[in-house]
Amino acid sequence: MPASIDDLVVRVADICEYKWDMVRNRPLAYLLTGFAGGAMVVFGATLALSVSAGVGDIAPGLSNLLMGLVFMFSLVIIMVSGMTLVTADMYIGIVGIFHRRIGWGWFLWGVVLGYIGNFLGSMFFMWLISLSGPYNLAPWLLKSHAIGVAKLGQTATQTFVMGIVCTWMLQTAAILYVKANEDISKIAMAAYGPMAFVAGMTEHCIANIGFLALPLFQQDTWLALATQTGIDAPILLHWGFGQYGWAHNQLYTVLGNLVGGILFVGLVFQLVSNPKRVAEIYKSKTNFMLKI
Amino acid sequence: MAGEYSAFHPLIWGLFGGFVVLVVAVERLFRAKHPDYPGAPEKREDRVNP
Repeated sequence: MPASIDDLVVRVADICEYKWDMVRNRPLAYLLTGFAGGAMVVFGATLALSVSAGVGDIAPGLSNLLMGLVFMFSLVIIMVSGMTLVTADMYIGIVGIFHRRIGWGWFLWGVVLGYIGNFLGSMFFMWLISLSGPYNLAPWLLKSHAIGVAKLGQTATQTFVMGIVCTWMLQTAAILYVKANEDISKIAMAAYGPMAFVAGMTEHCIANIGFLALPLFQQDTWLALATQTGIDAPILLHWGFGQYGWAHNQLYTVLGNLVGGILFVGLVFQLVSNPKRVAEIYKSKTNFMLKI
Repeated sequence: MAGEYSAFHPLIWGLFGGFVVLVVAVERLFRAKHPDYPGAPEKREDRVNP
């Protein structure tokens, strides 16, 4: 049986105690957990690109399903290994604030440090992929660029709303991972999150860091291919703000991801729990730290 | 809509500001309504500010 929602918020507060203990006392270790977590997310992005190249031209929905199916174990390996994915952890900090485990200042510092670690891991891994042979061959090169055009071409509003949807789905899965008690149910809950947000075509800032950097790293190779194959008016991507800009997508995805996870998951679960029952649980507690 | 590719989209930044105010206000109201809500076993200043 999964834990009650009252037990759940206490567990989450204990996980917050563990994570922010690392933020306070071993910030470089926390940064490393972010680096590993960021790379693990784009393990999934790389697999998604690998299996979906060419499929979208025939069956776009099937392409989304394939991408989701290979992406879904990213959160499982992050959770099982105890690494950090900032977009899956925001609810932990918010519940921790309600339980007086951390203040707003520490919450913000934890999110920033986690984001920096995730950024480095996601970007570094995809830079390595950009140097590879297979991903510079036509089907994968074209698919990578097509994903870049589709995502970076979206307006601010389109990106923001899909950012909200992404962490609403992802952090629902992450908090249910904590609620579940058996290994198999934990794995199922964690797998649901990435599958839903990838198959659902949403915007995830850490996945997008590397996933949308890849076509930029490969743009010269893609341009040579586009010239050879006679593509009219090729769309060029860039790192800045504006249409087809990496920074434009990242900014509005981060804002949407913050709203989705904090407002629709962390706050909702905390407010649904019963304060009197939570107080009863605390009376018998001796340990206030839980490793995820 | 104008500004859809600007870094300063007024509606989205306005909504985000409203979200921040709402979350902090809910936390303050919760504290006021449940002053004895349990928490960390020891209150340390470094829990509040880095």
